[in-house]
Amino acid sequence: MRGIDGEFVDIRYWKEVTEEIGSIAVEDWNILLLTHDSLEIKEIMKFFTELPSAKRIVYISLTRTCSHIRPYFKEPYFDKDSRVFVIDCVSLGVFKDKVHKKSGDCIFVHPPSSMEKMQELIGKSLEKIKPHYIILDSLSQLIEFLSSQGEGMFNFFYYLRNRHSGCRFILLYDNSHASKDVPNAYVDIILKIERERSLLTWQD
Amino acid sequence: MTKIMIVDDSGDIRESLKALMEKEGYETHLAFNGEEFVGKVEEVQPDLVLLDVMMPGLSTSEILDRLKERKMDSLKIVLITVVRFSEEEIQQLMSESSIVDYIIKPFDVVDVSKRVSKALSSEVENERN
Repeated sequence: MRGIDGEFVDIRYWKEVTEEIGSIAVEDWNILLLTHDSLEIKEIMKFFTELPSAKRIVYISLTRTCSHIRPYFKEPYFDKDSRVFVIDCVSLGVFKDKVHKKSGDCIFVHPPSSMEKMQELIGKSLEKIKPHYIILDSLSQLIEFLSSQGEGMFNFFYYLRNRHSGCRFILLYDNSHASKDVPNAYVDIILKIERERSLLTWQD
Repeated sequence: MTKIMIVDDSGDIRESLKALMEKEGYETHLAFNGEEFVGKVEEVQPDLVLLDVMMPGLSTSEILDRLKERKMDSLKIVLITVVRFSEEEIQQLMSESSIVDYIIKPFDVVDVSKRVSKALSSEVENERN
């Protein structure tokens, strides 16, 4: 919940490592955890401009509908040759007209009912699309939705780490919704994006 | 006393909304998912429902269907959710007879209080007519 005295005046992108983010992105990592404080998709998309370009990307969404995010999946955020496949786990439960529909590169599915079902979804994506990146938006919502921790989380990360498919996993994590600890033990890199909060002062 | 039903699978959110609504003088009733909500709603007869969009079990559209089956589709519902929709989708949601507002998480408690008060008033119905 928000309860701040000031106003949001800027978005700070990992201020301390801004100069290094390009080199971090090309390092040999498999799982990257990107934590943020309820940033909107437009604010998060700036991160993706730092990644090496990829031809096929899968975006699994538990927090934003395909219609909401689709307008951003183009230049300058993604390379013009990149194709982003959205697996929308939200819309089907809200809008009846999305039932059994596939719209362009959007696929509508019900949210996974367990960590194993999420693994199945990722497995199918790897098999059918052969993506270079899979972005999960968000791990925090998945954990809240499934009330999963402990062994379930360990198995999930074990699964990701043992895919050997050449695909990298980017897990978004919204700190402001999550009531559980960030599962930082299982990832290669953690980056944090946060809004810079400061008090606005009036000047004559 | 005005009755508010809070439906959210997150215990933290349920408790914080309960505290907020009771501070505002409302009687609160809690449900942790759609099944519990539809099981209780006829007995409670709330004046307003604060409904999370994404919970395990019944989906939002299934919950709305159950209300229609029970001829309770005039019940006022404010959606409170982490889910971000497109503008067109928000319009589509708001065209549902029950849904009177849509609040995104994380929410500002002052804003929630104001919007609950507005949703309970006839102002919303006038705007919709």
